[in-house]
Amino acid sequence: MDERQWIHAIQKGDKQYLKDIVEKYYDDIFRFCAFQSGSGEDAYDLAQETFLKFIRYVEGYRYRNLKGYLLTVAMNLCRDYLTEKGKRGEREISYDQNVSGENGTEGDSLWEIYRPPEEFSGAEEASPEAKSVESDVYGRLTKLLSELPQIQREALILHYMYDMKYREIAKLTGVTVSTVKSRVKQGTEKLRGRMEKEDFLDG
Amino acid sequence: MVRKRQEKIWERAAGMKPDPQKKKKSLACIEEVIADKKIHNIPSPAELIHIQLQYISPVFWLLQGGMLLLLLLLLYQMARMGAELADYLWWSSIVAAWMGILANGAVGRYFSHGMAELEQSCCINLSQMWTIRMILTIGVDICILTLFSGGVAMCTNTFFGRIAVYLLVPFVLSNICCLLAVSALRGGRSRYTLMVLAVLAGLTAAAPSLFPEIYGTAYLWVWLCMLVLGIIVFAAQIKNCYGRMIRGEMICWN
Repeated sequence: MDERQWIHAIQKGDKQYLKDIVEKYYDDIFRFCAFQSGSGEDAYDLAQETFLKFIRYVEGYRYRNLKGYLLTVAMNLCRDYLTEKGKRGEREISYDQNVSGENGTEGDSLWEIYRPPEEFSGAEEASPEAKSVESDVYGRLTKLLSELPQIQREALILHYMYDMKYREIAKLTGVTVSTVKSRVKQGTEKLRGRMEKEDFLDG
Repeated sequence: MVRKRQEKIWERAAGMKPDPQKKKKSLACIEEVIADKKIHNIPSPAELIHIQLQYISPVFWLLQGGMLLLLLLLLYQMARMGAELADYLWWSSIVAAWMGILANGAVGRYFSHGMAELEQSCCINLSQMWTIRMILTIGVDICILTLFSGGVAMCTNTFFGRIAVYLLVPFVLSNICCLLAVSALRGGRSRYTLMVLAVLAGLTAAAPSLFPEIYGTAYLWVWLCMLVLGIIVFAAQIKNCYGRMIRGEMICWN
């Protein structure tokens, strides 16, 4: 059964498929919200809100690309979140505090992540060191991304992390393909410069 | 090399997963909302059109078919007689004007007595029904007139667009008059009013044929201006009707 059939069944009253959709796309939406908002904790709320919005208006859903639709909702929520955060005068990211856990308990750490055991070579379960290395990569990448303008950041995330074509990003963000190209190009250059400066690309 | 390393970092980032406990908690909240959710079936535009098609009476389609047949007979007869452009336009303008009356006369039923009560008790969306009905009837009429314009263009070696403009002007103007009658006049929806309107519209549409030079290329801009103006007025009329319908003035005060 493909997604269109799922949506059709939901609109006919079969709610089970709503759960399937949420489970299928939760990780993707969470990841987008985490890198876009710069907050691992708030990303859960943003991902949750994305699905709640989708569920609220599912009867009127008439599009073809469900993942793209969910990413658009998430993108708009992240934009509102960042605007609100900006108004409150908060720093976009508190990387050092969060990674070191100084700002709260260990559970509040920004990149408290989980990776399936098979992704770590031969290990039965992710070792604390491996977790720590991965956590460090995500944290550093988020910090560098947070230094970019919001529109360049979302274009980079969609292009590199979700393998989206310029045309698809243009459709999602409501700008022209050439604008997306320029955002990705400028963002990539800036990010590379900052990565080199921070020796992030070494090793 | 730098580019490859950068790509590697993106690949690693793409593999990031949420914390299973927090994900579980978040999913539980979403599932609660799903459990409480009541799905209301909203038909798609295609389904809506299908539903509305069932409510259009066969008499309406018979009349539309009659108009098409009349136009085809005219085309055949005129072509046999080797008629001039003005001769084709004389008859076809009258039929185009009648088509406008017929389309809006049928739509006028939505403003009938008791529709407000019917809308409330049967939970029908009157403005939506009206929109679909307008799209269907006017769409069919425009298709018929376009086909006929193509036929006349072939028989008279005239540009197709020019014929379409000459035929659309009486069609749009009769639409305006009829919509005005059914929405503003108290007895505008009665069969006799519509018949009188059809006679008057037919006579007005035939009048330019008394001066065949009006159909010359020199006056084409006048026809174009009339068409554009007519479309603007008709659009404004529809907007006004919508406003009155949504506010309840049109269906509650009849």
